[in-house]
Amino acid sequence: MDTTNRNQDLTTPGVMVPGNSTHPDPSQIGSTPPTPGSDNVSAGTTQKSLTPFQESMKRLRRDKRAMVSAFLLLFFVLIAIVGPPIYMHIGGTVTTPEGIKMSPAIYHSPFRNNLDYEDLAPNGMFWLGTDAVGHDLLARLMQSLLISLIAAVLVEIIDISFGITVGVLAGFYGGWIDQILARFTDIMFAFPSFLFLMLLAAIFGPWADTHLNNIPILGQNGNARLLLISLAVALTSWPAMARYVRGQTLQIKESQYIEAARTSGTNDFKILTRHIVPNLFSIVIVASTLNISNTIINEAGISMLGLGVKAPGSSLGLMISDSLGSIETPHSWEVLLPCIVLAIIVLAFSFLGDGLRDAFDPRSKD
Amino acid sequence: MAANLLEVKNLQTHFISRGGVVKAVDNVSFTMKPGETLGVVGESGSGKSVTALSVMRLIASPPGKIVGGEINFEGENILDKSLDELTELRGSKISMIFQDPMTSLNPVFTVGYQIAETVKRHRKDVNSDQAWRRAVEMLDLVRIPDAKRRAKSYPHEFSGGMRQRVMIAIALACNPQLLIADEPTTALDVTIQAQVLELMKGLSSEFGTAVMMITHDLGVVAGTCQNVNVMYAGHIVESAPVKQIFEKPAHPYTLGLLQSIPRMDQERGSKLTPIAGQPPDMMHPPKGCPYAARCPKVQSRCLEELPPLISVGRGEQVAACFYPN
Amino acid sequence: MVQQVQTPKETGTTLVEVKGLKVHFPVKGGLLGRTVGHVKAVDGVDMFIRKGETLGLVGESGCGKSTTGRAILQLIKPTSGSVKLDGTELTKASANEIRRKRAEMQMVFQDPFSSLDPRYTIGQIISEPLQNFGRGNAKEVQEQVSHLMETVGLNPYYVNRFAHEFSGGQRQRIGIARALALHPSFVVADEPVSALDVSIQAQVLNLLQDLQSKFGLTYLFVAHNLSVVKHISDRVAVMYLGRVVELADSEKLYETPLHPYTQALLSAIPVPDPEVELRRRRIILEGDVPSPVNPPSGCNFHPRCWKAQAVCREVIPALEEKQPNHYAACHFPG
Repeated sequence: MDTTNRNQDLTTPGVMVPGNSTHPDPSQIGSTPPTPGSDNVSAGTTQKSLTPFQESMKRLRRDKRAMVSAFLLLFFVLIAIVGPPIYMHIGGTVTTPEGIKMSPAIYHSPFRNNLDYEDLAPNGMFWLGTDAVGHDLLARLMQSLLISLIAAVLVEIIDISFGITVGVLAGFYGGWIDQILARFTDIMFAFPSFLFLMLLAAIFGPWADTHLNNIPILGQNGNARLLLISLAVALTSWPAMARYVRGQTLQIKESQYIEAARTSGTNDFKILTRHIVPNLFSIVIVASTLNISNTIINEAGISMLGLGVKAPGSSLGLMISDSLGSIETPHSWEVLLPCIVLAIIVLAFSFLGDGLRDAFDPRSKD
Repeated sequence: MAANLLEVKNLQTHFISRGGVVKAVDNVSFTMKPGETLGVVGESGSGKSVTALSVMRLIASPPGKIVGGEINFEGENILDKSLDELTELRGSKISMIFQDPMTSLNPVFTVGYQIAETVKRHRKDVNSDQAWRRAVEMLDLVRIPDAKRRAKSYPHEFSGGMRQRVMIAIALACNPQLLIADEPTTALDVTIQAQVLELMKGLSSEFGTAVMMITHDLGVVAGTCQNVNVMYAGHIVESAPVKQIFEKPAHPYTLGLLQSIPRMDQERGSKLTPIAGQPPDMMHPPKGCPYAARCPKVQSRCLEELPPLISVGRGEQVAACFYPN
Repeated sequence: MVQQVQTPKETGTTLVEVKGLKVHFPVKGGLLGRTVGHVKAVDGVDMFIRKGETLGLVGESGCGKSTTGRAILQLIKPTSGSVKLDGTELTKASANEIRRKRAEMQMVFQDPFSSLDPRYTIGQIISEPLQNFGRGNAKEVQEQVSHLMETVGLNPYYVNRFAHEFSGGQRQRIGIARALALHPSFVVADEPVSALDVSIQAQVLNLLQDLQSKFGLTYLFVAHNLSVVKHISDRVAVMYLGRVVELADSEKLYETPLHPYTQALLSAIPVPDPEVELRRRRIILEGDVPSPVNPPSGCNFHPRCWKAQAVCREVIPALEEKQPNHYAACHFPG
């Protein structure tokens, strides 16, 4: 009898027993409506009380490390999107030693190198300085962040839609779909995913270079392989997502509320969409957050090896490989900058992911 | 009258969390004589398990903390003891069995080994052979058939009831003075519960072990205990010999509990009298008597003052109520 | 509410009839995941439930009582046997027919925590069955929900609250409101109070009784606590290892149990009265319940039975009417 509450009794009595803290008193329920001013009126008939999601967000807001990470990442996203259009209007027209007039739209372009301005330290004209061939480092950095962001979004769209669909079906119905997923993930896990990326980029890269190079933003300016790389990364990462989702689905499927829904005459489709998928939300958010840093590292890695984004395009990996030579010069700043930014992004995603996990599943902490 | 084996005085165990402080055990005092069987009854969150864990000094800290009081065992305050002294005490003079025997047994060692280890840890003069023989003897004592062979089995090879017997064997292997049993039969079926309770009763009287039986089941208490503490919201609300608790419960909560459970030996047809409402929020306990909000006899005084445990004029029966039955 | 407790319906018509119900779960084993055996969770259950009565179904863990309840509701597909609700055979009905039948047969679950989807408000939870069956427009559904909440003793004021804000007892009331939403005639209550604290159990038991007399419900009350079952049931069926071993009026079963297992079970229950406890003689059964994968031959209680004879090892005793309205499956009853 009463096995669910017994354990709670053993650890932190009262604290974890959901019946005890902020709950309306049953003597009030059913008899008199609560009087204004008492605790119970905080939520009225029309006003909903906190959803489990909102409660998790409340917990997340208390997690300083996760919040700092979230703000840093938001800052990076912002400068990736609105940074370039602003930066290209900052500064006056300058005249090069050759007598050519240049507007900031030209010398703040990430796709141009200004050979008269090599290896400059940060200054009023180039806020973060220039590299060995005269690229404006700030402009390139912002462009690189945009590429990382695009790759992350593309990968997560595929990752989440495939992962949820296959994972839910495998978990809910089992059978052949489950078998195929299991074998497929076994193969993907057994094969080094970065090697797989390199292979795909090497095989299909030349094709992408000639066929996808005219798409605005996603193809032009050396980004021809961006779609290819994103697709390849997603291909290696969705089985993991599907496995998480499958595991969680198996667990939710055993919940009595699923049985209750069935007893209430709810059909399978509604059970999946109303009861299973919404309850996957937290695990999907956590898994995809943690997966994004993996995507960004992979994109940078492939580009660094010259198999991804190419000049005149820009990527954190490309920036690193372009400036590798500067490491032993006084201009080591040029290679350190993209390295540090990459490290910050990856750490921030990990911290945020951990924070989300703790916020959505408080018990996993201990 | 023999000296007290265990004397708990004004014990206060609190749990500190972000949301506030939960006074899980609030000013609890009681005594146990050698060989006595004491039942501690209460619902979840009443503080009965925390009281037991405090006596064992097994409160996880954080979030738990024993913030006040004394626990005198054989005249020495357990709260003053060092970790080494505690380890020496636990398992030899005081042992404990839990609700779920599976989590208390180590799955990678045989049960015989686990009993023998306990013996060797506390009895330096015992060699491995003797310890093993003791283990087999204990398994035999808790009526595990074919003990000699079964000593070499692993915990997962035993059923729930059998595992609880193994736990009892471990707990009693060093002839402790005090055995704390925290809901020992809650996870077991009634017929297995009957086996285990029978066994515990027999062994405790055979060895003269005092037993603190923590349970929510008044039936278990009625059949196995001499004295009973009834706990509610961190307080002992009534303490009396078992006969009086059931015949003339003094505290309205005790009476409420007895009236709200269906009894197998009664005619059916009568409706149960439930206790209205639910236990107080331990994070924000009420000012006066914790039971006041649910009590049918509540007066204004109950809402203002916390009633102390006082004699109700029937021998050893005490109750924390201004208007006892 | 009505105080009168229902008297046994001696002459009532049968609402639910179960015959030879079996639920076997395959046990997979070996490298190839072949079926190497079956867990015979329910192995030939016969029973009937009369309109308006409460049939208690008791037994120890693993005896198949919950599985029986679910198999009757077709939440688990029976391996064989027949289940009739109001004359309609359920085991042969299609998935769609079963879904339509769900309006008449509902369930109250054991776990007040996992039986309510944490993502929805009380109102959404209670209205789910109403929406599935198209019982009215949004406003009508809302009115029905308010009314249901009042019926089970919850203030409709809290309709937009989430389940996690309520205590176990209150959550169980929410589950009961959901079960009643479609006005079913038959409700399976699966251990509805065993997860609740003692002082709360009585509240829920009384509610179930009140609702029964108000709506003329028929209950199958599944529980392991015999005191609770005796209190609420008109008749009681005792299960052991997948079979019903005894079925009788509540009073009769507790006064004169015929099956040795029932006798042992009843004697094992602690009574909250030290005087009674002192006088009682317990039948302590030897050993544990055998595995349902390989149940003993004949009467599956024979290895633990003190009355067992040669015939018990060989012949499965049928559930027969040994005394008027008192059924037992034993070769040597009494």
